Amino acid sequence: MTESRVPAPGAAAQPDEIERVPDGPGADYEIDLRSLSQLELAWRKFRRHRLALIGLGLFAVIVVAAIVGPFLLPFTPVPPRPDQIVYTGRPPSLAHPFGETGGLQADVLMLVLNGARTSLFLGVTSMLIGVVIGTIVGAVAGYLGGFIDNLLMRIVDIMLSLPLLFVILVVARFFRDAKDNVWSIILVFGLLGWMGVSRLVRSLFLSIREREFIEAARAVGVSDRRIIFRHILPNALSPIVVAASLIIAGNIIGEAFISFLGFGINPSTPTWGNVLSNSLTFILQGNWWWPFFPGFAIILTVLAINFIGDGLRDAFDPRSRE
Amino acid sequence: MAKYVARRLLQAIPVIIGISIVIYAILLSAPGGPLAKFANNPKVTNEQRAKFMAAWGLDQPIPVQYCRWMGFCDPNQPGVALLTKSGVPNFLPSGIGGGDNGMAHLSLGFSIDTGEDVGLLIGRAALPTLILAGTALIIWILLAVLLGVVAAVKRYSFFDQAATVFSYIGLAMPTFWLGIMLIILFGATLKWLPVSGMIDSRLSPPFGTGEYWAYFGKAPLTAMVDLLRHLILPVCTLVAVSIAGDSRFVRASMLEALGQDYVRTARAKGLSNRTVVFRHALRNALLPVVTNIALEIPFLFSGALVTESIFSWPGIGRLTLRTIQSFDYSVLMGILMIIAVLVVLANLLADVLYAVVDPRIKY
Repeated sequence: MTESRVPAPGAAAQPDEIERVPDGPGADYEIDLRSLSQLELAWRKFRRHRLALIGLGLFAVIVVAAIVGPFLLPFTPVPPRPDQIVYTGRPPSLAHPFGETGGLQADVLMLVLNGARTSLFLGVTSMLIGVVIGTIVGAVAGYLGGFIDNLLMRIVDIMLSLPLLFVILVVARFFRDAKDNVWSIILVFGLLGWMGVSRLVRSLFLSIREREFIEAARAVGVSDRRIIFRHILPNALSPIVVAASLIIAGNIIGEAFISFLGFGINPSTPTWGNVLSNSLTFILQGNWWWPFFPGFAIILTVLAINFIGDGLRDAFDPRSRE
Repeated sequence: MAKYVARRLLQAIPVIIGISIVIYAILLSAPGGPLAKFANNPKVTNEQRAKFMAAWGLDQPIPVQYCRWMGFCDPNQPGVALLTKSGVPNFLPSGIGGGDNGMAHLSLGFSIDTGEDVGLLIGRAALPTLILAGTALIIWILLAVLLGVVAAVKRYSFFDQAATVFSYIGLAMPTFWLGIMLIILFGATLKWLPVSGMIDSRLSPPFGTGEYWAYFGKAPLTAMVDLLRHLILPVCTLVAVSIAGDSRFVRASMLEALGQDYVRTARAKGLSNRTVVFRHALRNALLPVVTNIALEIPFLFSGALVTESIFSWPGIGRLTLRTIQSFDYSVLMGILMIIAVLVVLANLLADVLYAVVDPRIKY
């Protein structure tokens, strides 16, 4: 046998780890033993989780729609029709499957697709900021311990006792006058959303730093920075990934909340929260399609992310080994 | 136990002071201000602006304003004035010559918008919030426990799976979206239920006033029915979203209890299924649920913000939104501090309740 197969991540879920390759007619089987990496093991378990796969598929569709959609239906609000001063919108039809809004008479599908791009971008980017800060704070606190740990954790306590929604509302004011304030809202969510991760990372570091392999690393003179990033962090990664997935979902809902209250992203930028917020003026006319579809998009996205999060948790959990 | 509670309360004081400093700094350094609404009004001169700012002490540096708000500085003298004019430290009670302003004298100050006492203003808004949040809390606990227990006892049944699906959807749903859809369905389309406010203003005087209570006394049944009809949609909104996570929590806790040895023993003794489920398993399963619910109480108080704003409910949430918009610093600080204290107290309550319902835990 000459060719050793390098499996793609997707191919890792072969029924068994032992590959039998016939080596000429009637010859004995040569047995190629190959152990699976942690990632491959996790992927095998993730694949068994039906809801997680559904979530992954759904999320992929939403991401593709968010990327491609705005090219197909660019964001162009139409000015009000001259013959009707208050135009209350039109229910879903073939030309406009999600209906049309009142007022500016925009296609709801177009708004939802353009909103998807902003909302997803905000969810993911602010998650990254929060996770990086949380991981650094948690790692420093958990690894160094002592006074610094105490100080950082008291700061976390105070941040967690702040009524977060109010703080976001007030802080969002700092950036309200900016024309395009997407980045400032991303920063607000990132800078106010790291405390949970830092607690999680700290507890992981506290337990991992007592293990033998860390002691061994220290004994051979590995620097602190290398121990933190190369030895402890990879072992703490899976719970962080699970938490990160849920933070994306939380931030998407959070954006909708504050934009809905009128403190979020500039109302002229389409986000799911803004589309919902604008619909409020017309709800007593009963045009349900306007708020329904952006809300439905939020629900689908958050559902998909929650399913993926559940799948990841099971996949990374060493106790759930088939 | 008393010692433990006392220690926890003492520990809470620096945390609450820390919170107040952070909130005060964020709030007062945010751009805008109570005069922002006159920004484009040429009739308001700079002189008048300065006069207004000075009258409210807003021209002072933020640390000085904070000290006044805390009651350590005398607001009648410029700058840092720790002593009153009679030479007594300002934080002492006014009876012996101290000041009468700030948290040290249990005063939250006065609203910049209306000049009312902040304590009274918040107290007036608290009643509608308590009515809404209290009703929601009771229904939510009852339903969450009921759903969770049935789902656990009939594990993997159709009911259990339907409950799972609903809770997944509930967790993914923004509260206000459900509120909007309920308004469109029951308010705008079917016209069954009122969609805004607490009372029908065509029938009765504004809620909370003396005339309202007189009206309430004369026709209690009509007034109650009117209030209940207005309660249905906001309560449904609050309950539907909160119940999703909690019924899952009850289910998990109940499943764990049902797997315990004492449950098997009880069944082996030949006790009826109902006794086993309700007397043996449920009582133990509720231990973690009780603490979980205690932790959620302050969020019910503050989390009704969006629900209140959709349904125009005249409670704390609407007051908060209004004061954020108009930069009414003293009212906003008052509300935020009450919420911060509630969060700290709820944490303590959760720990104490845990010891009360579970005699194995001692502090």
